[in-house]
Amino acid sequence: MKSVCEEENYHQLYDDHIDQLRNFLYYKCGDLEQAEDLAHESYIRLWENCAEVIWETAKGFLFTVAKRLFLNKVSHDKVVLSFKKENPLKDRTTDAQFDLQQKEFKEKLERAISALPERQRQIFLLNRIDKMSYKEIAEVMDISVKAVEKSLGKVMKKLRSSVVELNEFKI
Amino acid sequence: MSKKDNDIEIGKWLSGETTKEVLSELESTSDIEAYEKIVAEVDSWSIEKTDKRSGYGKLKHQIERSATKEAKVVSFPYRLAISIAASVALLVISYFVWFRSSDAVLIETRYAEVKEITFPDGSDALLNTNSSIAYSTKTWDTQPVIELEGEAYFFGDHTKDFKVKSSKGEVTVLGTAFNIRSIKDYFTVNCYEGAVTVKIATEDSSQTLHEGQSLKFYDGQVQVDELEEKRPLWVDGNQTRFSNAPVGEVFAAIEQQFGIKLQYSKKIDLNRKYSGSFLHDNVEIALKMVCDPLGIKFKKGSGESYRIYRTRN
Repeated sequence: MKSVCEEENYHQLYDDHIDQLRNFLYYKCGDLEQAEDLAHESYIRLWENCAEVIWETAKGFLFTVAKRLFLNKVSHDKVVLSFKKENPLKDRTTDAQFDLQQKEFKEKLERAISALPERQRQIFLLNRIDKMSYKEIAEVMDISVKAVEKSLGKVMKKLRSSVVELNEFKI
Repeated sequence: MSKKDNDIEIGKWLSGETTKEVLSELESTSDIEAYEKIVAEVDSWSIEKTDKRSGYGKLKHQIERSATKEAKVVSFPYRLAISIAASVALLVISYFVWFRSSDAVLIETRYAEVKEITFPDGSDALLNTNSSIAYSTKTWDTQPVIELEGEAYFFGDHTKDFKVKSSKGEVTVLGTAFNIRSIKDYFTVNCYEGAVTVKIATEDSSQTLHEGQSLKFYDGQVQVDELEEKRPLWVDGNQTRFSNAPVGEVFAAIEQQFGIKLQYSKKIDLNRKYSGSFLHDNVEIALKMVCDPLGIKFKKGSGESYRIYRTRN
């Protein structure tokens, strides 16, 4: 069986999960740097407890510790998230008016997502940005797949109503 | 179809499990189009990836550094909000840290972590999960006082007047091995060797506890029982034992152990007595071990919470 205490294995766990863990925390607090610090601290705890944590549960351990550290350390009244956008090449030909609308749409959506309840926001973004399956999300959040589905339904409805309010983006 | 199912169907559609045709029976076309537009937009977003190579280097460095530093010295709070109030707090804290950092020792344990601590007098303690111990090396010689939150087992040869304080009470050692659990409103001291003096914060008199005795304080009452075990079970194995303890304390210890939150329905009497233990492997098994004999039930709630309730009859 693979031991977490072997550096090669530990390194692999880092490469495999650091982005997801960092983003998981980012969706909670909206601060990238803080998210990375906490993610690292979770990895330190994993190393300290490497003898007790079996390989298969290492990922769950990381997320559980991250949640706990987050509760202890972070105050987050208002979360403001922002994302990079990859612009497709064809956009070169579009007019300025359209670009502006696109930009505004993105900002409105970012705001609506930031305003979601913490868990719904995490579930939605882990799925869309980190491409995690419902099963993976259910595991790291410690909820059922059904609860993931239900939350996503709620998220879609909320985001829709905040988008539809903007008439110019009536679709 | 109810509204709830509707949410689930939207969730299933998002993962491709349900087709658009099925969803269109529940949602209007314009709504579905709005969903599609939102998803297309969000799917074009990304977050900067972490720099794995330098990140891992940094992590290794942090681990090496923390390994050389046994006990953690009190440091600034993780992050201070930028506000006037926080600046004032910062001044006060800096003052404190400046004058006290050289002698204050704070040791904490997190989820699934137990630490062994050696005090300046050479005696030891095992600190159970989610607990903390603080003491001052500067005043140790005149006042060997330890502040405890959570649970710890103290053993070895203690110096004279060795004292452990918690929010609920304090224990003075008369030579010996003892366990203190101070969680929420419950305070329990078990004496395994020698004797200790226990003073409850809200009571005037103190009480001496001898080998094999256990003192519980809860709900304004002091109760003394005989101990069954020779050492706390959490020290050698992975379980916590109670004898004749209010079930509220047992549940508080489970919350502490697993980092969960319990909610109780009105019909649950938290002062009812419980004797037995719970295992540390799995939260649901632990809850079952406590709930089953008392004929009560538990159900997973949202997040890390569980609801404790009683069914009719």
